[in-house]
Amino acid sequence: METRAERPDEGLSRPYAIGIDLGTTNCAVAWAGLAEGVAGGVADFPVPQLQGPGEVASRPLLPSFLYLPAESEFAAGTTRLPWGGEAGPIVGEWARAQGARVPGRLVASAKSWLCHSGVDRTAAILPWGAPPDAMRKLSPVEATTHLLAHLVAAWDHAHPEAPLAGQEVVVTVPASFDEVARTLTAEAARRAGLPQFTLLEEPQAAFYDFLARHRADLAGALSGIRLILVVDVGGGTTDFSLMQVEATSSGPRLRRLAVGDHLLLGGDNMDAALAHWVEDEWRRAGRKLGALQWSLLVQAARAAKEALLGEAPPESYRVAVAGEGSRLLGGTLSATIPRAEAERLVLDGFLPHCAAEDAPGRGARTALQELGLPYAKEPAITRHLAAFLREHAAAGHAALAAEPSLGSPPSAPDVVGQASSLPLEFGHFPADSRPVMA
Amino acid sequence: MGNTPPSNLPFLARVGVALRCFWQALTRPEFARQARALLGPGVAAAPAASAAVPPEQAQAPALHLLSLLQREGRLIDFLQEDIAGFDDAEVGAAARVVHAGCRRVLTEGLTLEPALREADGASVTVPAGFDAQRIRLTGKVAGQPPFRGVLRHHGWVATAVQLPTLSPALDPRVLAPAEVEL
Repeated sequence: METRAERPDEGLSRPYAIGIDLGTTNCAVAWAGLAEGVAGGVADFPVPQLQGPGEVASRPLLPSFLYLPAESEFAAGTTRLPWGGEAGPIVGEWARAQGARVPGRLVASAKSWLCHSGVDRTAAILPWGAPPDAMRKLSPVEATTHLLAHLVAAWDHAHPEAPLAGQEVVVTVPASFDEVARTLTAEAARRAGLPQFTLLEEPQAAFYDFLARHRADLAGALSGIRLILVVDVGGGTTDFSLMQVEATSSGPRLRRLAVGDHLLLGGDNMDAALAHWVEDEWRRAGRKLGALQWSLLVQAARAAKEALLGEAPPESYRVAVAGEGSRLLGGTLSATIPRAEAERLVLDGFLPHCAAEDAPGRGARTALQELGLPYAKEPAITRHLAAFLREHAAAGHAALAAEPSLGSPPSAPDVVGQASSLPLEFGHFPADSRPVMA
Repeated sequence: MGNTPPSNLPFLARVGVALRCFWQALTRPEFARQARALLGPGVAAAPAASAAVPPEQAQAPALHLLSLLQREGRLIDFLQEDIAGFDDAEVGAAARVVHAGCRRVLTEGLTLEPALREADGASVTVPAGFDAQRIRLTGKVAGQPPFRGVLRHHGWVATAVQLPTLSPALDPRVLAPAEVEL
């Protein structure tokens, strides 16, 4: 935006704008040709990754998982990627699958560790709980670096003529990331080979997407709107942002009013809640699950959730999980999840109707327990939201009462994202590593 | 015609003989000894056997597809089991595992489209010059196209293949590794 002119290398050709969504559970990369502009559209970049030993395929998402193999665990050459990278941890789909078999060598939720102020985020603590002499552990920053480095290498391999480091790169972070987490994300990106990039808050990115989709009728889409609430329920985390829309002569202008706490609560917890319900059914029938079967059950529960809560849902959904041995018949466990049960577990459990004065409870819930990370105790996203809105009620009411500031000329031609109004929106990190706020 | 020599074998037949010789020499020491005598002196230097691609490498993509169907959908476990003694509920439960996993392999690795877009049971016209690989005629086949008929099965055509790329380090004969818990 307007800060681009301050950047020292302005004038170099940057054919692509590239967005990296560094998620708690999955990472994704999307790109657009700068020459084509908005009309050219945005395309996903399918990420090549190991699916198993010696097997590489591209997938729309890169699961944010790292697996640290033991020496001689895999045959020589079978952990190699098309661009090399044999020595590092396994990243993505295979890491997730192998981690279900060997949980002690799996690094998951690196992003949540990055914003966990209760631990030393630069210390080699992951996989959490693994004995110190079992492997060379990774710090949350190193883990994030490996994820980003994989994306950089994958892009560069597919686009040798336009390496990622030379493009207009945006990396998204949760609005609730504290300063340390932002700085560490920036450090990881630089270590991964990105000398210049922009950190953009995720709710802001969501709002830009809204703007792009409504660019033809923006004034109409935002007419009468003073406050915007962005609720971002991701795989592992949930974030709330409250933003004020100010009308200006050149279009709507956005000002961030409040950001909620970084809640470790998301779609993965809903899958786990459904899976626990099924596991209880099986336990009553005297069947027990191994670790691998549990991870298969969670996958099946995700499919059940998407079917039962999607468009034209069936009355029930059957899930089946194979036994560990080579005998499929007799060893397979199956269960039927009725739609009412899925609605009770997911909608009533995580998104219940609640009063404006409701507060998040403090009761522990087994579905959310995992040692190490400070998971939210209260699973109801709506109660967290009620508390968030109550906390920022004064700012919200003030914004609603404010007169539209029509006529005040904006300081730059941009419709949103002005320097004075969004202090944390654009953190540019140019080569000299000094954060420049737009 | 008396003593004319037998005619030369066609090329493909010779390939077949070569491959059989290769296997026989590998698997039957007695055959290897006889073949060596037949080849005469200097056999040690002959590159014929070492230049041949091992059959499992030549078939690596097919074997790997099987290993994917096993890994994701336990297909080999299912097919290798005798299902006669199990009731339909148990077979059905296993079929869900096989279906969900194998379907994932299909959707991720192939783009499938029907050979004909009409629904099963629809009346269709088979034009002159139709693609006989895409359309198979059944029933009373007589005369010249165009034909009128009823679509009994719309067929399947793979319009794109996005199967994984394989490392040469991979042993394609291993369709599923043994799992040993420590």
